[in-house]
Amino acid sequence: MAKIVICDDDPVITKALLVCLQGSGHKLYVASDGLEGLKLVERERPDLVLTDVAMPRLNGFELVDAIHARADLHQVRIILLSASAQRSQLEEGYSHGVADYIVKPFTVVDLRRRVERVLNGGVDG
Amino acid sequence: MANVASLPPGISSEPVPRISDDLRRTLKITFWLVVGLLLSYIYSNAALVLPSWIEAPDPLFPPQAVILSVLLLTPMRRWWVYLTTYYVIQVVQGMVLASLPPWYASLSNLANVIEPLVGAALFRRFVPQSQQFTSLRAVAIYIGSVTLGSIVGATWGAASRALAGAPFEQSWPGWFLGDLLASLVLAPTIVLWVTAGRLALRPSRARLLEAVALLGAILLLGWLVFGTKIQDPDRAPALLYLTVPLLLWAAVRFGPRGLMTALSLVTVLAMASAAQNLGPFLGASSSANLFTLQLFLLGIGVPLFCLAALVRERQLAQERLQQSEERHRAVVGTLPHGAVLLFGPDLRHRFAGGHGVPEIGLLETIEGRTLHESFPEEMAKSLEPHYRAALAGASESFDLTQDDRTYEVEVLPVADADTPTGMVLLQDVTDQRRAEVLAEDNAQLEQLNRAKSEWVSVVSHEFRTPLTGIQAFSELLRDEAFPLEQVREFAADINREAERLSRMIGDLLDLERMEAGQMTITLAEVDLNVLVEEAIMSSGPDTSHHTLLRELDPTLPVLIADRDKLTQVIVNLLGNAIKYSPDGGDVTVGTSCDTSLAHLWVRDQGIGIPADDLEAIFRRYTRLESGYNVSIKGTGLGLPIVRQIAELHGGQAWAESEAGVGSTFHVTLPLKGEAGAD
Repeated sequence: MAKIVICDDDPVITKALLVCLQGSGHKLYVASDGLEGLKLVERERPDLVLTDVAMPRLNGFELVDAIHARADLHQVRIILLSASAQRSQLEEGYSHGVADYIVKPFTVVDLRRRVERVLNGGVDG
Repeated sequence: MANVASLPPGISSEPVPRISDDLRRTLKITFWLVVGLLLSYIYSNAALVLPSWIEAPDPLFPPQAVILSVLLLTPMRRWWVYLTTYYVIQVVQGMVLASLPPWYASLSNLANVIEPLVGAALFRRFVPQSQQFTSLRAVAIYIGSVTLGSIVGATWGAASRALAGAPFEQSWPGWFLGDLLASLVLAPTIVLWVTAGRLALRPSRARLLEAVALLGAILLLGWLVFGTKIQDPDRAPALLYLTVPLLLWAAVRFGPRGLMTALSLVTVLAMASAAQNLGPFLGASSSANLFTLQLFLLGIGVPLFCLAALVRERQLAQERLQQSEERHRAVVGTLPHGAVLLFGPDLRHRFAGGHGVPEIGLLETIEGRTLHESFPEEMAKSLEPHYRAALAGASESFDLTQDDRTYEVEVLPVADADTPTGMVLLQDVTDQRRAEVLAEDNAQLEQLNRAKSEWVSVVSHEFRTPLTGIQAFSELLRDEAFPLEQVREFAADINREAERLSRMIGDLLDLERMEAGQMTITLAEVDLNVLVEEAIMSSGPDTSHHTLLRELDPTLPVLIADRDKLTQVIVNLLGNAIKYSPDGGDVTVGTSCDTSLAHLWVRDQGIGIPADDLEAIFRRYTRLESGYNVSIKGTGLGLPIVRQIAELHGGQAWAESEAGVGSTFHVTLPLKGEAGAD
């Protein structure tokens, strides 16, 4: 059982993510922007962070950098979610050192598979 | 001398004189000097060699001519070599061949050294070596110098002779005339032929023929005058003057060199005939003949020499002028597509150069024609004020179009001593201008393209967000079992997101239509305040984090406007206010009016908008460079739609903002229904 922090400012998407992952047996936490997400991560030390890129106050990339800057959060793995499928964004995502990058809209099956893979130690990219 | 510092030490920056060359040269000239002297002695003593020759006194003294020529052809610093050689040879010759006592030989020959020295030195002082005999001034100076030299020499020589017993006044004239004539006739001949040889000029065939004809004429005349026994010996010497036309011919057509050569030839013929006991000299005594000949040569030679110099001067000036003109033409001729024109106060083109501009018929034939004769009528009319301005001193630069070609024209004044002159520089720049316009168009297109693809990615990004919910929930419903309540809930979510997506697409289409001028509005009486309340209540955005305030003016009259569109405006502005104040705060909606306008405004306490972006936000395809750029959701179309609607009604929309404090969005609408589709 793992701890997962979900971070997205769109409530519908947040809800969809929750519903997708609720049967997996992992413990799920929700934040609605990057700043809240960071606080949540600091507090809960999750195994995985599933975060959107476009968010107010602290966007996805900034959140990733903030997590990586903390020595004590190095084991936190991150999956980025974004509506942008542009190559440059993908590359930027991977260059920030994330474990995976999922493009919206995603299929439920694909989401679950990637989450499991990252949690089990596989790193994509 | 700044360059000296950069050379390595020990190396001079002046070229090293080529000593061996100079020495070789001096020796060569000395050699020719000796040869010349020997030849002249042989000539003077021809009687020793050719028995048929009766010795006749020389009208001129050849050695004098030789040494003078040498001095005239060499740099001053070497003169001492030649003069010394000459002196030694003369003294030796005098003592050996003429059996003169050593003291007399030494003394009298000093005169022979001083004389050419004085003459050449004076001449060189005023005329550079390169310009001998090329102008009247030079020739006049030469005549003066050698005259002075001859005076000095004759005086010294006659004085020496006087010491030896010959009377002074008897020796002086002969010596003077002999030396003067040698200097005036023979020396220039030698010098001019030697320098001509150095230049290696190639005369034309016609000129060669003419020279041969002249030579032939002189010889013929010479034979007639000098080669026959004359019937009337008293009148005979006057026959000399028959040679004058030929000498004139030589002077005018062949310059100083031709004249001197002809004169030398005549002299030689005269002397030869006298020595052969022929010709016009036979009647009187030999000294009288000599005198006649000498005066003839002097009297005719000097003026003709001056004339010849004048002729040469004019010739050189013409050559220089022609060269200069050719050079200028060559330079101007390299202008690729244009023309250079010079014109005067009468607008007549004095000069036309360049490749010309065939499209408007502008060629070298322009020269001599006036402005209106050279250009097509409209062009001439447009050019005329510029021409006149240039004559008055103004420089003007402009483009001119004729028959679909564009010309870049510059008309400038030219500094000219005598008359006001203008210059025209004309170049066909049609292709250049077209390229420039194309480049500009291309740049604009590229910019549009870039903006468009940016916008496309923004929009697709936004569309994908509601699609995500639709995709996820519909997949979940399809593949898994959920309690009925949740099924309903998810279905509602899908529905809502679908509507959201639909609205987005609708906004986009509306904006397209409005911008293309294809939108129609339905006018009706509308109470703005009521509309505000309705908008807030029915389709209002999520205002849970914000406090919604109203400042509605109750005296606001009824408007004639499109109800739905105004509702959209209010909804968009409210949504915007909330979007740009993510930390919550007050959002105030207000209405007011004045005599002609109704005023709607929405104020928030959000992040604010930088002053530079206050206009940009009303344009679609823009992304603000604010720090929240990536996180502000929406199509970026809300505000452009607001402005379009306002303008459709005849009103305006704008924003005011202070970064970090908040923003206020304003919309004005005319009260008296001035609305209409653009």
